[in-house]
Amino acid sequence: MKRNKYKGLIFLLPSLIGVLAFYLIPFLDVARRSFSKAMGGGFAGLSNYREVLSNQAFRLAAGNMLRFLIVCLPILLCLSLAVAALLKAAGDAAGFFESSFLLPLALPAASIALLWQAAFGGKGLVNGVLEGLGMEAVDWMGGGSAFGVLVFTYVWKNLGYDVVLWLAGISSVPAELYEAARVDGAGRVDCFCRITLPLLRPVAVLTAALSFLNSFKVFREAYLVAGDYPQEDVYLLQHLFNNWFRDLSIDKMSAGAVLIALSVLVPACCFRDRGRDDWQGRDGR
Amino acid sequence: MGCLLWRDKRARRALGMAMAMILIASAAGCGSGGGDSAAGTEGGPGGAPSAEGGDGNGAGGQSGGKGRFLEQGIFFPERVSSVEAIGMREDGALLAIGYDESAQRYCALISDDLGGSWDSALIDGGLSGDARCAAISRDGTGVLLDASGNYVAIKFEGNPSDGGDEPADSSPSMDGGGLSPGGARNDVEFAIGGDDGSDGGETGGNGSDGGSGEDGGSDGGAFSCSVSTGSILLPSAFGGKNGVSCAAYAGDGALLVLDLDGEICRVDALSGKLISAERLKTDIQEPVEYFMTAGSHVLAVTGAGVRQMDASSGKAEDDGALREATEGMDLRSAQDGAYPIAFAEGSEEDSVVFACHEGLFYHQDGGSVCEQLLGGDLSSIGDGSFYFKSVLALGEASYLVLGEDAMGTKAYSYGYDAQAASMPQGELSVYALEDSVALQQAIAIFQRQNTDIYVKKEIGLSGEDGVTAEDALRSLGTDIMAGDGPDVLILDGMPVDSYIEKGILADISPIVEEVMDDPGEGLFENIAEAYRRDGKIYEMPSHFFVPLIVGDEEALDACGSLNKLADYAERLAAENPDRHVLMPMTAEGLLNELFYMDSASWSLESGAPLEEDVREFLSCARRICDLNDYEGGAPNPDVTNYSISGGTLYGSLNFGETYRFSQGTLLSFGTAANLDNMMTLSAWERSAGGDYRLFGGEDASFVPYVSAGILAGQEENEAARGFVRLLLGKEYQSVSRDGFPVNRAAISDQQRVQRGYMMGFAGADGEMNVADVDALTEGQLDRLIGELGSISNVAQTDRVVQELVVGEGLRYLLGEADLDGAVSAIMQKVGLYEAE
Repeated sequence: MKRNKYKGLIFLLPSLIGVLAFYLIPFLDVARRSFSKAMGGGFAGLSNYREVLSNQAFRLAAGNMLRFLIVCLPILLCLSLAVAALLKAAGDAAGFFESSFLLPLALPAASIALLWQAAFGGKGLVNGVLEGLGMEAVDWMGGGSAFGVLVFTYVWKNLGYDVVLWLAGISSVPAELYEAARVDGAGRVDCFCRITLPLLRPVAVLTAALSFLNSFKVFREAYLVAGDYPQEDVYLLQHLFNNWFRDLSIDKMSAGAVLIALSVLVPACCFRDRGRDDWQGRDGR
Repeated sequence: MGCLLWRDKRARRALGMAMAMILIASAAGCGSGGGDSAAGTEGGPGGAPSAEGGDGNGAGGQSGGKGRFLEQGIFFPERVSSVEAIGMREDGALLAIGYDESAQRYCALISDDLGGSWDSALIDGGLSGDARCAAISRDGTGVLLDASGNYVAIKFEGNPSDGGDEPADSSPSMDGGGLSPGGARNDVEFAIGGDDGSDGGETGGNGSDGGSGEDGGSDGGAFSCSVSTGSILLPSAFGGKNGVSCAAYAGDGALLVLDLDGEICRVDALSGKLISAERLKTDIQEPVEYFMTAGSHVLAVTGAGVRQMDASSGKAEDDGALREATEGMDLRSAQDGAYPIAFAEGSEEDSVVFACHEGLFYHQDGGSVCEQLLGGDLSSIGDGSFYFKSVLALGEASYLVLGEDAMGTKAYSYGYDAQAASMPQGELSVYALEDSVALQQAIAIFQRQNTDIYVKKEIGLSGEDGVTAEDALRSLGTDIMAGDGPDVLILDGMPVDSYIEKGILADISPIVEEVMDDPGEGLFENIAEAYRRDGKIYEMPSHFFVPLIVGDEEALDACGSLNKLADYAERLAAENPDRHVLMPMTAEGLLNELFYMDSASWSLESGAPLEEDVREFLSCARRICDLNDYEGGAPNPDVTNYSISGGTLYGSLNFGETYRFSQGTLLSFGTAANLDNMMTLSAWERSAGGDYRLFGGEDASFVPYVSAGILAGQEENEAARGFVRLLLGKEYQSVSRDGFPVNRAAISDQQRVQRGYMMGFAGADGEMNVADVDALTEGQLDRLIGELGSISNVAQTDRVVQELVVGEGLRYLLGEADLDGAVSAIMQKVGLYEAE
């Protein structure tokens, strides 16, 4: 048993070395730099953190990111669960839809950006339709609607992925439970609310965690559509970091990265603990 | 069998090991294979090994090998302002035909020491106008032709006397290769021959007194010439009179000339007053733009690239390797009989040597590759402003290149030195976001002066890989952070303020002050002081350009502000409803020009412009743009920035002036970029009774160009300091015409070599008009220097701000956004940029 345990460690070692070399050690260097001046490496104390926290651009970007998460995550999780439930109910006939929901995930970000420019540009498809209906054209990416477009992009792109996760979770619920409930007179809604949802909690934690992490990738589309300085509602943290990197503001970038890492790690750990508790709870059922 | 092998554990291990070895070997192969190039390093021309291996562009790798071509300047007598043709006689004497500036006549030149010293003789009369082209054959015959086909044939006979000439100053000097003040001359006047024009008088001997500019007189020395004159009658496809644009001697002694129809004609002997030329019956269909010969071959540049044909029959020859080697080069631009490429016969039979900005190449007829002998980046011929007239194989592994740059004729010889390191031992890296002719010129001069240092030019936006400026800056930042940054930064388009704040740039004020205090140089103090911060200077432009307005007094009064300009433009439009106010411009081009003109007047708050300034800028720009009412828009929508295009700084005002005088537009404004711009502006305005004035009046601004800085930590790097010193120095700035030089001595030097010319243009009524464009007078130069010396404001040069203002402003100008929306977007985005 002990020998097997060490064998396992040996197999884990390459990936551990990779994580150390490419993530942990660089991150420790970033943490060190967050207390240093931009050039020369002199100790700067907490001044970089103070500067970052008082920086208007950082506040705006962090606020936008938070707002984006608060709006997007519930919409995505609820919508994907609903779609998954419908697909499950549809049975074998839903195979085509399962695949088609995954299609946006396979599209490169650059293609999506082109598509979005064609759709939401000043003389794009959507405005063409609006004008055809006698309505006024909207500056989708230059006005307040830019945030809505970004949310729509995120949901559209990640819906299929979450649907697949939910479907996997729903499929793992034992069929006997539903049969027993039906024998006891439960309807479809009762089954969903009292059996499916409680048993999907571990999947929900995983799906939420992955959706949370994926939300940081929406920057690619925002950047490709609107560049370094988009409309202020879609100015995200990655825009700021990108621009700081361009200007060699390594000190601010390091401090900002540490703050963001902490703000991501804390909820991620909570998710992880919650997920483990749920799985353990389910095992001990 | 396979299954048996798979079941054998040892065999599986052996297979695994073999696969791993293959992987490692292939990876190593990938890593080492990059240095191979078609240029190769095998035996070169005439037994000289090629000096350039390595990376395929001639730069070579940093190998420890030995042997490369070294450059030396060749100097002509001081009075010879230009050399039209150069050739080598069979006995090894160098022959040239040039123009004697002091005598205002053409002259024949001869040297028996490969350009170390020259004897010269004036050619009296012969051509009524300027010579269009010249050629010299190996049998010692030269010809000078004007555009109408009139010729003066010159037979060079004898050799220069031993004591008759002083050696030309062949040491590299601050003036570079070319016309050295040290060159001595002995003049002999050629008398044009009898009435029949066939035989010229023979003049012999040359001065033996080593005279300093005085005619040497004929004392029966060895050098003698005879001249004859006449005209070549060229066939014409349209029945009218044809002309000559290019000439060269074929290996069999026949003269080939290019007519204005783009056809090559052959003249077997220049005898008689009127000689008929016959067109070569070639199967090459495209019109020839210019050509040169290499023995019995003609190398012609056509719209389809380089074509090779037989000089006697005109039959097209296999030219695959030459075409491949020259593919992608811009070969079609020409400058006063000088071209982007020159061909000649190599030192071996049926070989071709050619020189272009990419370097010096050798090709053996029938060979599959062109071998690079010398990289353009290691020599003066890499200078983008250098145009070629001739290349000569002087012997085994020795070549001569004749050409022109902004300062006149330059000639260089290249000899193979087997003991020299194949690559310079030192390296200086220069980084710029965008390549420019001005930078290429600086590197070429630095390279010539520092043969032991290789200048590695790194360009962020090569235009070939879709990299954006932001990507390039991030990549540069990574290199700097990794300690692998360049030595010198060309800061145009870079976030200079941020770099200074981070301590990335070194203080270059000692270099600036050294040039400023040098009595032979001097800088515009106002320009230098505009860059001083807390007593230090971190960046300094080598050139600058200025926004101007031209016209009558009323137009000049409108130069105070953009608002006044827009008022004036609208009034002109109202008073002249049937005429265009402006030349056609794209909205983006117009916005960029107006940005250069107006941005210096904006008040800044925390680095961001005030909203009212941006609002006024956009509303004035819209008012002016609305007058740009050409049907179908601007003729060339690809041109988005009229001041800088394709790495060359033009100055947009000349375009406006050309339209104003040829098409009858009412108003021209924009930027002036050099003394040549001012020459043409003066010519236009003299004819119209107008004048010019700096835009902005007392708050006039300048736009910097080629701003240089040294990376912190490299301030003690002698090469980096030397390069920045060169950028600010007279030698480079006298040559580079991309912008007004910041060096006061250079601007005077430029004025000294200005030559007047006649400019023809079609007027709005279709009539041909001619304007005399004269060199600036001392008074005009003094006025200009005074005005340039009074400017203290720098135009807004932050690339991000300019892109944001122009990007959002464009939407307003094109009607895609309203003024409030555009101003709000600009303020929000610029605010974000500044807040970062």
